[in-house]
Amino acid sequence: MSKTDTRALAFVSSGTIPPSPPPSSEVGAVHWLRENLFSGWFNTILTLASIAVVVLLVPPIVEWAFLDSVWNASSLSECREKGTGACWAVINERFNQFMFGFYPPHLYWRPILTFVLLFVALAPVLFGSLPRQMLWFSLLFPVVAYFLIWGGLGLEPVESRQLGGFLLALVIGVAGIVLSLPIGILLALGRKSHLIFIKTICVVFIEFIRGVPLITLLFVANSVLAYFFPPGSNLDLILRVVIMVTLFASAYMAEVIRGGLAALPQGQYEAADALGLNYQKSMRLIVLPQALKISIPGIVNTFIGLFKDTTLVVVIGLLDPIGLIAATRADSNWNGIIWEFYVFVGFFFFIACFGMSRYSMYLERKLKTDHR
Amino acid sequence: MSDTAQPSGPSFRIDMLWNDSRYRSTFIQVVALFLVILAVMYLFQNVVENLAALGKTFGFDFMTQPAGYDINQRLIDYTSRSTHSTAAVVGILNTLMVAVVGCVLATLIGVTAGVARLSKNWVVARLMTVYIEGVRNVPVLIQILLFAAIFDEALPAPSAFRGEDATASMWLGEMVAATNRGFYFPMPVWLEGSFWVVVAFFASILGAVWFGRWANERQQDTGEALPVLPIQAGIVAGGTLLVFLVAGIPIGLDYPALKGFNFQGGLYVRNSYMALTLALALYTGAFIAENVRAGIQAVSKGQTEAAFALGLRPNRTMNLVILPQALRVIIPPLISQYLNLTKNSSLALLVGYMDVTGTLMGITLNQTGKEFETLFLGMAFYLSVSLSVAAIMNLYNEQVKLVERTSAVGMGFSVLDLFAGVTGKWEVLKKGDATMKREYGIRGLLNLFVVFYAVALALMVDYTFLAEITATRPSYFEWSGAKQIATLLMLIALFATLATCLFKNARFIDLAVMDLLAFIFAVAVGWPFGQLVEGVSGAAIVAIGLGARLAIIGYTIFGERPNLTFFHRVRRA
Repeated sequence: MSKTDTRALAFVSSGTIPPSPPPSSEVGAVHWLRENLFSGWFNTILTLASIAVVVLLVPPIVEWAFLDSVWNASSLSECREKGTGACWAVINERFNQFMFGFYPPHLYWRPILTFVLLFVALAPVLFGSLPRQMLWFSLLFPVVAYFLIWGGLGLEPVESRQLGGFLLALVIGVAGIVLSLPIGILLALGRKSHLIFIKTICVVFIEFIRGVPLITLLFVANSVLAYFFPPGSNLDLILRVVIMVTLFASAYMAEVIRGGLAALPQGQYEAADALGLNYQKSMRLIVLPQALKISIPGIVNTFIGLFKDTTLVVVIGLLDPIGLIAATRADSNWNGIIWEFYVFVGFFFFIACFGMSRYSMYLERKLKTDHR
Repeated sequence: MSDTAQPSGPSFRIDMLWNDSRYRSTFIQVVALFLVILAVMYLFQNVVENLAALGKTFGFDFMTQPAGYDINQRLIDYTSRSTHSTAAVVGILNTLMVAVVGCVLATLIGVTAGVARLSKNWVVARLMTVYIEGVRNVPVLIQILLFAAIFDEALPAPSAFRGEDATASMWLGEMVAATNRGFYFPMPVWLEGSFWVVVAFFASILGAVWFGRWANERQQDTGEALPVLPIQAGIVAGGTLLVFLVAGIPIGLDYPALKGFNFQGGLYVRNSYMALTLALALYTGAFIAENVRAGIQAVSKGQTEAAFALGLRPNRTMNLVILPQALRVIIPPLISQYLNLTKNSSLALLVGYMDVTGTLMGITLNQTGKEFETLFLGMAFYLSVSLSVAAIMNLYNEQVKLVERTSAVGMGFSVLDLFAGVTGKWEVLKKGDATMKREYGIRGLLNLFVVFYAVALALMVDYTFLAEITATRPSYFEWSGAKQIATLLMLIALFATLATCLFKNARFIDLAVMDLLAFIFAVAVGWPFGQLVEGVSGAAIVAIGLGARLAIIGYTIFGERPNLTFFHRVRRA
């Protein structure tokens, strides 16, 4: 604390000494490598093994799928002459079939238009900033979609068995989700109800559907469901499948929405009661809007699961993408092709499902900030 | 405003049914019941009319007729002359084989991938992300078909293994052969004396468990920690190995070898089974990996830091602090992934593996045209698997859930209430209640015994329904009415247990009492117990069954601490 006589000192630094750089092993790429990849013998082995896997797998796959592949040919033998890799020519030739099945080619605009309208109908549900009047179109969309795809009302009619490919997968998936939403809401409310009989019915239904594989429900659609309708009523196979898929999805939907209802703080229910709202009003005005909002990511995930599960309709002979694989392999021109189909169909599903799951994760993050 | 006279007029008006909360719930339920009955009657009548129009009848007698088709992979004896019910049992066993092996593999893959995805190692974490996202977003059916195609097309034919210039070789030191006809593994051969090795194995496991408890108690008393895991491993390996050597190496391996056009010996597994199991395990493993990751991430970082601050080393932090909390989050979705795998195994149909969907709901359905009956039985199988697992999971959840502000627990009448005067009021206590004490030892094991007993009952019901006992045994619907009722009562007892478990109120005593009544009834009407097991007289089975049931009930009511402490269902002291 005492005052130092500066004149007695030989040297006083007038400024701060610049910090010396950290040792080279503590900065930059080297440090990162040491820290993350080679921090111990176990980690080093893991890293080397992973790199080996990548080096072994990636080049042959790239070579097969891109470098040596053939995109234009009229038969497998022509493909094999042109290159040793994948014969994408078959996908090239059958692309429309994989998309639309045997839908009449001059009417392709109708499914495409339906697909575009689907997003218009979804927009007001997903983005609250859009005008609320658009919800009317969302409500109307199922009717519009039905007439666009199957015809009628002056449009040229298309038979159900002409539907196929990804169009069929989308039709079944979207119809299942859209129709299951109201049923799922009712089931979820019923399961939370105090009325013991109604609760029992809902629980039994939900647990029954969730306890059996979808494939058995599809068997029901194929062979038994028609017996439950009055004699003489001739139901279309796709309609029967949609009925069973709807029942299937509504059980899962009910559980998702029940999760949303449970996530809502108890205070919201009590506040609605305190305001003197009756059950219908408290559900419609207070509880459901919030619970459904929380459930949207879960609903998207249910849709992803259902969309993947639509491939199962091949067991009852519908021509979804996998059913078309068998049909195309039977063609003498393309007999012998195996991998290309699975890779193509799998990749297509991957793009769709991966995109949707990213979207649902984004929604989850966005909604989380609102509530926590 | 001082006068609050009762309003005059009639005390009940019709609109009070839906406006007055006293009557509303009853009214709504009666209306709903009425509507449900109407709907069921309508559907039932349609079915009856449709079946009559087609000239079909309803009945399960086809189950005892010869199936007439062959099943290429089976665990029990089966020929094309066996009955449809045997075919169904073969299918069920095949399903269970895929499910069990698939679940074990999926857990191994999933836990590894989930932990690896959280690793600080960038390359490993990225690789696992690619695996998880890639597999999760592609339909499992495509993956199964892809695996089947790989095995059928890319694996060498058995002839490629032959001769000096063989283009293919066996794996793992000439032990495993992968061909386009299937996989050949070494098969254990059980010689004389191997029984004692198995006994020694289980006994040493029991010993290891007992040692673990003893070491734990010792640590509680003295604070001295023993190296439990190495010693336990030593007990199991050492004990088994000792008996193995003393008994003269009674277990050998039968290796597959190329003879003629094909491999002979060893364990032959079809490609369809391998493709199905591997694809399902990889697919489900990706989902399990995500659950594991979420579970580990759900434990807040403060827990780790607190454990470090207490001076725990990373290993013990993981074992004592992180894992117990993470498991609470991981296990419920893990179990539902197991169920998903079991349900997805029905896709076996598409690769030609004959599981229950392929036999009972596939060929049997097509041959007999009995859609209702076969689908009913098939769904009942899947449903009973799902519900039993769900029941166990609910018990687990009850045990691990955090104490929160909750309303009253449980509902419904229990037979137990009849005994309230003897045992005092029974309650489901929550975690944190002072009187709750975990009880292991013989009583805890007895509780488990009760659960296993329920499972055994389930198996027995399945067995009497589905399996052939003697060639002459008539099918259920040809029995006398009383026998049918006895069987039905047993079924009801079973489902009562499942239902009570499902609604988070495990009342095994209900099961025990109902089952005792059913059993006495069955004995009274002369149920064919003598035919259940070949060579054992009916009287012995009746005596054993009666004794076991009485013992369980007596234990449950009068035992010193009679309640199911294993599941935190205890009597307030």
